Amino acid sequence: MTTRETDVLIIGTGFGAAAPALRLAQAGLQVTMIEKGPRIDPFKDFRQTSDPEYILKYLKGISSDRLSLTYAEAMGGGSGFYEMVSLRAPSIVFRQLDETGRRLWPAGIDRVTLDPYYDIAEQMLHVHQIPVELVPKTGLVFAMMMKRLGYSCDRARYAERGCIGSGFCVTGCIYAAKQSLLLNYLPQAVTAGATIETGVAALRIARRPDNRYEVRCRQGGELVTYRSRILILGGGTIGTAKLLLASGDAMPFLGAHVGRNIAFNGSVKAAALLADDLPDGDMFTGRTHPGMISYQFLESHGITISAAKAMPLQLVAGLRLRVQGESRRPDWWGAANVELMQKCRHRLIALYSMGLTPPAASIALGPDGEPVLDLQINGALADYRERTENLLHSILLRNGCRLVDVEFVDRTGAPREQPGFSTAHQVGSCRMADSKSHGVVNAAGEVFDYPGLYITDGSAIPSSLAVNTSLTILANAERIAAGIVAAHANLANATPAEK
Amino acid sequence: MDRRQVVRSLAWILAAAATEACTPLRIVTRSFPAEFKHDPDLVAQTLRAFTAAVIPAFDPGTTDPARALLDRRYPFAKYAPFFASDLSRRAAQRFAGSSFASLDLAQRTAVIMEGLEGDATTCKLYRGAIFLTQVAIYAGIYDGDAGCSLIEFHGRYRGGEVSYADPESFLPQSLTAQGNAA
Repeated sequence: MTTRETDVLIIGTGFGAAAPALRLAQAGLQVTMIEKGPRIDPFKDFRQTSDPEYILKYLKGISSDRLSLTYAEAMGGGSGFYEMVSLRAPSIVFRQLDETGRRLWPAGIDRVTLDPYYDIAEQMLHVHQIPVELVPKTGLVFAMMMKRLGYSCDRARYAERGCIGSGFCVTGCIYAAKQSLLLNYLPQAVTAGATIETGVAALRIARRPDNRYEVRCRQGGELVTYRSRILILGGGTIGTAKLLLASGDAMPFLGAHVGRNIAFNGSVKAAALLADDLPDGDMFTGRTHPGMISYQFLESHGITISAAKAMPLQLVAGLRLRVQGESRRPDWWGAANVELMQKCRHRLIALYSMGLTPPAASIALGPDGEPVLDLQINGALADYRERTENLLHSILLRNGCRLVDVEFVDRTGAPREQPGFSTAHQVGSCRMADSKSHGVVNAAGEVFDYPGLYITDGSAIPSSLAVNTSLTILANAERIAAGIVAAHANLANATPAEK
Repeated sequence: MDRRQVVRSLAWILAAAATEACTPLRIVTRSFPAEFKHDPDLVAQTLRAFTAAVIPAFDPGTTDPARALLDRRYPFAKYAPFFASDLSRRAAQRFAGSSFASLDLAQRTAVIMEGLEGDATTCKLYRGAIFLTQVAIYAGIYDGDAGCSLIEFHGRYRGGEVSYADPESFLPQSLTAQGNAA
């Protein structure tokens, strides 16, 4: 077995991992990043395709009866495949309380605390508000619908340079316009001295008697061990929790919260055929996120609302669509379905809300060592879902639209019996908290009772955000990285023996 | 429909596993007519007739609409001969010995609906076949350039108008200065 030594080992290469890699390498520390997924060249490897073989190479999923989560396993993490929406978490997010009245976020962390780090993250990713002339048709139609009802709507913010609106954000931008981490943080980290090793799966962590951390990994068919003074977990909400759960016997002081408290941004969707007096949308062209977001119901309902676009693969592999009241049978295949599918591009409007739902999901390891997801939908969560769906339907119906039933299907094409949630915005499986009795890491991102072990990815974020999560994960990672640099400044100048 | 969606949510990525559950042992072991075991052309012809009933208006041109059902990358292919034989058997029983491929659209639809109303295993098999057909044809998974003209999905981006000429007229009041809520 090969053993490799480094000052800092970072597991993952996504939004939580990239900032500490860059900042610690810039501080003079020897940084090694390991990534389970494949290496990606952002100028050559992305494709505009619906080929499942291509998509499944990078995107993975985990599901329970009530919740489906999507995540990426590739260099750059989800950044290669996100919609590039980059919004700051509203202040209300940081005021969320748990069922006992305790604030979910640690003391001292709020929007004001994070704003300087949002600034840095936005500068790195070239985030800016979409110019009005580039708002996709679907976003404009959504905005018009809100306008008719007297509601507000804002142009959203994106991490891009030179976007032409080709509509394939989620299969990777072949124009390198979308600012994935492959274009900024990661190459800059490498320039600063960091190394990135792909195809390396972390299996288990242990703490050595000399207080260094040892991570056993599989690279191809070989076992490799990494040893480091500082270990940063940035493998994402699922990956980080899975790794810590698998390391439980060697890390006995981790506490009871690993894998629990997963928040999922309470996504609820509704769809309809546009009323005749509304102009066409365009489901298949223009950036994937259609440009507009409404904060109208953030304070009153704890939700934001956007329009949603989906490529045909997303529409038919994840959903069963039926025009409400369609009397012909069959309705989800055959002639009636074809008629609906032919209207999808221009006349289908889908609304999508994200909300401040509680951290109610969890993962545990199954007998095969793979994570098993669970979400118990209690009365409050069911009420939230129904209330939100009713609101979305109301917006559609008051605009004269004809509702389309949206039924989620499982991997066999079977409709899910229970209403549930699906998202790529899962956070919190190793959440920050003021004490070990409520979470896994402290406000500095350091694991309770494990000095030098940090968590900087979405798993540390303790609540739903009601907006896309990537920018907040990145800003929080910048914040934690600044703290690590300050705390370990002496390490950069230490001799090998001192290290 | 998140990004990942829907995507996200993107339960869409489950497409490759579309027929994973259609694998009951009893289908593997159940005997079915030899011609479907040994005549791939007969199987393919029957499956093409099936796809024409699932997506009636689709003009496959020179492509094979049943390709996904026979693609060894997907588990369904292992059960394709049995599935074709089951379509044929139901067609013969229901329509005086006719082959499935010789039926008109309404008759084929009736046969498929009968399969969907069968026992749980049969239902899974039929549902999986419909699902995989829809995924393959609507998403154009075998030709990223072509997409699916039936639904105006043109595959890869080919340029064209992204927005409207008068976008300001669509917009309501905004609550923020630059897109971030306070």
